[in-house]
Amino acid sequence: MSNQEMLDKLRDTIVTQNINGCAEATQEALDSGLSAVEIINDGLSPGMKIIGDKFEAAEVYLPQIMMSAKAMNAAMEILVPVLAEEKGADDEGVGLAVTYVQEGDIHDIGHRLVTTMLEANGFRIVDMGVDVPNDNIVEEIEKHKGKKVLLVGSALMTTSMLGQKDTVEMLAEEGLRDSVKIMFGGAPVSDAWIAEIGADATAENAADAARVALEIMK
Amino acid sequence: MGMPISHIMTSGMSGIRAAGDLVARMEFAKGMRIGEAKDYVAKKLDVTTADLSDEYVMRELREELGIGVITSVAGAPKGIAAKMNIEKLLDLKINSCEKFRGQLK
Amino acid sequence: MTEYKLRMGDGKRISMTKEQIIADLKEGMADAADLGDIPDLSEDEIDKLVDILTMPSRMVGVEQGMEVPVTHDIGTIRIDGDQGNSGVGIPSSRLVGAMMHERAFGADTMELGHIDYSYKPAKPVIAQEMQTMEVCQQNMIVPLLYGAMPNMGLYYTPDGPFENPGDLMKAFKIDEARESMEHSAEHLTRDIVWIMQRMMASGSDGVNFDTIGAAGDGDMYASLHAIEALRKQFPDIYIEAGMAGELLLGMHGELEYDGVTLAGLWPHQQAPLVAKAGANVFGPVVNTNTSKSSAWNLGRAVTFIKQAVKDSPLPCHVNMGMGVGGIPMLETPTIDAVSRASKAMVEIAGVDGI
Repeated sequence: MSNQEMLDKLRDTIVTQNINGCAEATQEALDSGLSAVEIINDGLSPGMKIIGDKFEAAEVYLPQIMMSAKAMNAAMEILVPVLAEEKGADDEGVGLAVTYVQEGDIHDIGHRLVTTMLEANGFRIVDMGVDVPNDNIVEEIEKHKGKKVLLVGSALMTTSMLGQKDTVEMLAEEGLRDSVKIMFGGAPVSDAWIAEIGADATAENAADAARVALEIMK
Repeated sequence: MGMPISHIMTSGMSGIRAAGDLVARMEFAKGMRIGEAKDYVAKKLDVTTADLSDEYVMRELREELGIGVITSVAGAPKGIAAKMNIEKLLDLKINSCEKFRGQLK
Repeated sequence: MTEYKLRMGDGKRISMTKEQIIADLKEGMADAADLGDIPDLSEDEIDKLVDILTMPSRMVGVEQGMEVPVTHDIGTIRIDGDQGNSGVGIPSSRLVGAMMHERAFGADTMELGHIDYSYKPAKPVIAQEMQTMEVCQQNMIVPLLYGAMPNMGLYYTPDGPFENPGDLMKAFKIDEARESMEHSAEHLTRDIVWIMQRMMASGSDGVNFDTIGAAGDGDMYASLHAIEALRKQFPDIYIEAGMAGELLLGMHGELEYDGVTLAGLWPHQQAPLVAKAGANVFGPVVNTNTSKSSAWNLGRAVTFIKQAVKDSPLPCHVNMGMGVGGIPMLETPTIDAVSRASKAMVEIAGVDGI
């Protein structure tokens, strides 16, 4: 099997939610000499992109996207130790994602989905839950100062979205802004809002959030 | 509050200022589409469908028919009394009127 | 080149040329046509949308004679509620709030709802709800429904008895998550029917299901079964079925009603099912994209709603609140944008009400 055929097979196991097949194909690809980075970037991630697009177009639903995430997860369990070897023992992988729903907001469907997607894409996770005050967020980021950290906040309501501006300002006041990348999501969050408050990115949906997260953490 | 008021000013039939409540009632009571509901109410009131949103026409007519007007006219039918007149006018039963009748001894 | 004042989907003022407006309208329309597999708008309809968006006046209005009923949801919470409900915090009774809508604002219908605005929390305060409905019905003339959100999420832990499907899915326990949704749906149907039996005994004209599907296809499944049961028990009840979003999210993915899979339905596909269940009025929704212009959003929303109106056997009262129906996602939506979207929905999509 050529490398391209092997990458296509990896992609297809994600799209068809073939959990065991994905783990097997990952091991097969490693054995044939493909690097962990190649397997993720050129095989698994394109599969997640396809499934994300299908979800967006209502061709597949939440259970299917979760099973694709599980397939991705099965592959990452094999790949994370290899990545550490490839990059050296101290490498933090793609990083730590601190996820939460803004204070005053308890809408957590999107938050849960994004958290799962990030985990499936290799992020270590600290899930702070819903209705989280900014003080707690600053405290959590402080704990991981100097590491590769991504803050991922969600708000469904315009009222709770306003708190995201304070999050960024408070992190800046505490001298932590440069030690963390910040993504915000939720219905009212727009590109203009991200630019206005000085965050780093937003995304259209959960699968896209994982892609954007990997991109800004490079 | 700007949202509902803006819609009412842009597109609404303005409720009991004109005949919006009557047209809405036919949509809800009989599942009539807008054209059918307007035709039905206009026929019952003996006016044109355009008159149903015309405060000038409807103000006097509503007072005359005893189906409630937007300003508080002393002695004129209000609430349940106005709705009981609407029942007769539109040839339908209204739940609150039925309950009211059921409570009379 | 002449520039016109429009809005972004988050409400911010922008300037666009006529060519840019047409391009955005067509792009939004194409997005809806592609997703819903529905026809484009005609060139005449696009021209009319351009005319509406470029009118210089702050407010616009429908042509005389084309007015439609405006149905008001969220009860009186807009008056006495707090910021979390987009309420303006005027201390007042619900009777006063409902009568203000009827007498001062000219609303064509009104609804009574309680401050928590979901069916489940209405159960412990049902006597209060019944008494308030009675008093309102004695004083009011416009149709007055009882309204609340099905909000099936309240039946999941930590708020309800069934394990949260979100937690189960996260642990990849898909079958268990689906079972939890099915149990929750049964309880939700039962609660809605129980509450409406009491509200109908108190003289309510009927019921408004506000934001059906907010918790996905299970929420819709429960609501359709509640509509069916209520129609059977109360042949003359007024039933409005208003949706939460444009696409019925497939949290479960396999639930069906009348042989149709609920997950993934767009507004024009939702309408026949709502009619089949026994509703009188359907409230379709199209979501606003905050990163796109009002031209893009309105082109998209009108395309979707026009098809829903065409395929619906019932009157359609399009949802046109904050962040839906081409209206910006902003707590104080700009009057220029609301007014234009309102006119477009009546004159181009042909809605039966708002």
